[in-house]
Amino acid sequence: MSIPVPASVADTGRLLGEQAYIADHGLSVAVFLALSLRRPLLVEGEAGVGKTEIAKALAGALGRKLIRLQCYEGLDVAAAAYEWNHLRQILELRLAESAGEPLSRAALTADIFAPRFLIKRPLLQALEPQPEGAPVLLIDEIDRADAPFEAFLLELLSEFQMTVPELGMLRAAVPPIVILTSNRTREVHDALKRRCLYHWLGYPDAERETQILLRRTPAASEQLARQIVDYVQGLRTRGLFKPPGIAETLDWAQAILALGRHALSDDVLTDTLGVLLKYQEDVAAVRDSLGEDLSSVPAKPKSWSR
Amino acid sequence: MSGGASDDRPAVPARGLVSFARALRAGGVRLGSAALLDACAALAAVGPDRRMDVRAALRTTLVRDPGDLVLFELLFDSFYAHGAGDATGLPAGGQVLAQAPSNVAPPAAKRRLSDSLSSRRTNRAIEAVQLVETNAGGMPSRVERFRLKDFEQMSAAEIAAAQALIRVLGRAQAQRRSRRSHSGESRGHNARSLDLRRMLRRRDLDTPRYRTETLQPRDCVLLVDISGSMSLYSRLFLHLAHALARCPGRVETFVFATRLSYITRALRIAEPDRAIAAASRAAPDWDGGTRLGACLAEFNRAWSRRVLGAGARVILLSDGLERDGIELLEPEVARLARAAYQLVWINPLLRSEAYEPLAAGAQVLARHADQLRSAHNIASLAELAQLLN
Repeated sequence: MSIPVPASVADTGRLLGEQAYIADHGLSVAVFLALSLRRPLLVEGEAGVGKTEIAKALAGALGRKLIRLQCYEGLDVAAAAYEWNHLRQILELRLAESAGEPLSRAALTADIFAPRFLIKRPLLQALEPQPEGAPVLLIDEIDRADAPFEAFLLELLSEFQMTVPELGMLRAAVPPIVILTSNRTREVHDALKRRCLYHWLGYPDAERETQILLRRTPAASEQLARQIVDYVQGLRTRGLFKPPGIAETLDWAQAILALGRHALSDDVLTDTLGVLLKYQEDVAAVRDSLGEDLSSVPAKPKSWSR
Repeated sequence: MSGGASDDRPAVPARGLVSFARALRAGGVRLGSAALLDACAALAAVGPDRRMDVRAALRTTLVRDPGDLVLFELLFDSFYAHGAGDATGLPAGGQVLAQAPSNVAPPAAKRRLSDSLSSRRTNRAIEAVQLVETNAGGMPSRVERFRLKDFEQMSAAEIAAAQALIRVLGRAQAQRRSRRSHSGESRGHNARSLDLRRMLRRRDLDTPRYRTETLQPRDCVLLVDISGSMSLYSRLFLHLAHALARCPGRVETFVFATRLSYITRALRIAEPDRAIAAASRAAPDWDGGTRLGACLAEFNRAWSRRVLGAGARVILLSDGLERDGIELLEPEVARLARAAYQLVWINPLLRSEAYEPLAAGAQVLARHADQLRSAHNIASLAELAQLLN
């Protein structure tokens, strides 16, 4: 079920669109280039703008396997790339001893460090050939890993190869499609950035956010979607501590529908504010302005019905 | 997405690329020739027919930092305003740009772009464009547009003091537990598990090795008040910041008076006087009034999630004199104190045991800070260094 890599920017956008991922033009170009130049793509942006979803949509669109590596502080080679199954190795040694086989030391070493004792973690899996074509490797929140791990990625991302001392160099026959994401909790090192194409993913405009909402939440009417998007877009201009991302918009729409409501109003907003805003100051600031004229809250209250 | 009529016109492909890259570099974008080769390949892949494709292809290959996006967009508009021909084979960035008519980036567009990104980078972008316009129309040079603080040479006593600081602070790094482990023989309380890999590699299963925990330097964020009332101290504090930036571990430095400026990158220059001169260029509000609340609000919104992630300690160097009221200050200080591992307020006015914070702003800071320290001479700074250790 492998699908060939898109041949043009428009095709890329269309393929992502089929996976209910509405990409803007800049992102389509970035993804298209990452595919045709076979380069990793580093996507940065605020939380909840759909960075991780790109990789999922891409894997779905191309019918490839998605291999995900979630980064965290202290992530090391054993958790990210490979690990020897030491317990089984020791067991093998003891078995050889008890059987009393006169094995040479070299033979024993070769036997112990055989691929069957190797536990493959995401990065190594991504180098292996897959029946449906090169996999999509998602290295999520690279900024959470520490600098030594970033340095480890350099060889992998430029040569698509990895060295396991006991086995030698392992190289991908077909390079995986690599998407890295970062929330910018710290600056990713230049050496890593240089190996990647770069895209900054911002908040979408109202038109595109409405499209996304309608695609992802088919139960929402177009009128409700426009109300929600107008309100959220207004919130983003208010200087909140954490403006809501697209993920919050979608959650909010689902929350409103789950309550059986089909239009925005003061009480719907009061009940569901926690879905949209995750900081007490922000909730308080918005709630304070509720008692006033509600339509003064969003910047563009054009489709607000009271 | 429609990019407007102009985005559908043919644009210049690789020919003007080198000049364009030069212009970007002149604006401060760090750009290697590998990125240029990428850009060529990208242009070949998307084709030169549509301007919006060319724009996105160049953006995704030449820009690696969101702060550079404003500059890129402005330069692209100026550069490729006339389509083919104009941008070919001209020498320096500024002169190339001077060929472009100054009306290509209408003021509204500039302002919109400026508003969308943080202040320091925007300055740089605007400066670059101003440079263009200066060359074109003889407007005042950018040097005169900013009120720069001209630091005089440090006195010998100050140099000695700074060096003492550097020695003291070099050891003044607090540590925290790392999630990384290393292999050791210890069986102590910090041993996490058997290190079977090491034991197998050593071909010795009878001597146990353990994964043991490691320590790493705790992140540190310096917020330095450079308002008029602090002018006696701000230079010394910047030397302190420069010394800290050379220590292992992550140190992020901000200065503020009426607005917040990020100067970590300037302080990476090894030579102290040059680094501090660069820092002074990055902040346009030296010796201004103090808007502590507004500056902390900006820090909380724009920066705290980026620099306070790993349990960073915040060191606030300020006298706590606030020009605006404390209605804004109080919640922002409270938020900062909650987000930081520890909020240390260093107050140069705290010369005697009898100091009582009388100014409203100082009272707010004293209420929320975890530690309150003086910093008016080297002895008190050495004391501070001990606290941090």
